[in-house]
Amino acid sequence: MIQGRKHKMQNNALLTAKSKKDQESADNPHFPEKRHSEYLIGEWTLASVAGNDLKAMELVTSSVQTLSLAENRLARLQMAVAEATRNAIEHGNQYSSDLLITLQVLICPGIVIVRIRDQGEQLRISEPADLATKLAAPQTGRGWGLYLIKRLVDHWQFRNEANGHVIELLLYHKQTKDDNRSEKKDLPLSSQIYILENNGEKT
Amino acid sequence: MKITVRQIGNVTIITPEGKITIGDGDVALRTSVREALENGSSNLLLNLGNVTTIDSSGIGELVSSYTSTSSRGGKLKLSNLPAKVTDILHITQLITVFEVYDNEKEALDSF
Repeated sequence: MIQGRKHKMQNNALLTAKSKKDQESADNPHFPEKRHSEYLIGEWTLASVAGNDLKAMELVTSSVQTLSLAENRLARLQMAVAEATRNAIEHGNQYSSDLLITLQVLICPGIVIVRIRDQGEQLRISEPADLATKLAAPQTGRGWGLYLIKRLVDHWQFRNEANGHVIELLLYHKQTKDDNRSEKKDLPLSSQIYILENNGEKT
Repeated sequence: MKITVRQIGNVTIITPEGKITIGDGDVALRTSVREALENGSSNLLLNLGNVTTIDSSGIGELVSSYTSTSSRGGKLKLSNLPAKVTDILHITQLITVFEVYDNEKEALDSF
């Protein structure tokens, strides 16, 4: 099931999220808190079934085609959206036919934001900050999605809400100097570090 | 996903074609690597030249294959990486983990 619509430019409230200074862990993302007004350009709901991760990728691709993103930037966004949507389907909604995924694409000058919301129970994000730690864990062939997402987009944040979870992926239109590097640096756009409030466990 | 397995000298060359993604190639790759190891191969070369798409599950399988081989005292190397796969390995920093070669000959000579 897919329901959706493309929006004409309409104002959308700035993101709000609980933040706390000076309590940083290596896992916490830096996400620019203050931005220009955002415009919602696309919104869809998807069923929590396998394959809708790719559908989400297609929908986002379609909605940003007028932005003229560089090919490698678009490829990164596509992959991050597919991975994040799959996490929402699998770990968030756990393939429940009663629970939906909401996909939103927002733009503001120079920036694309994709917001993916599920309706699952509380999750804890637990992701090693570095590759060595990641490789030291038992390798099952799974569990690389969030690691990948973190490195594909310029900023990301995850939060638990009353009725599910939201992950937001932010990508600048223009290629950053990090695009061709194997190691990215945090961009000093915000001193606000988002603190995750979790009760559960996420793989 | 189609996987071809060849033996050249003491190296088992595994060549997947198509996607290495969740539910589409990831298990097949894992099975091929496991079978090669169980058959006594300790030098594995993954020729990824015909891989069209890879996702986090594919990345996970590459890492899992590498650690499985290494834990048995073997070596797993990569060759013929498409640009997309190269980019993903750079993004994930896994390019620093795998031995990567431009072509099979260079890879075979390295074992």
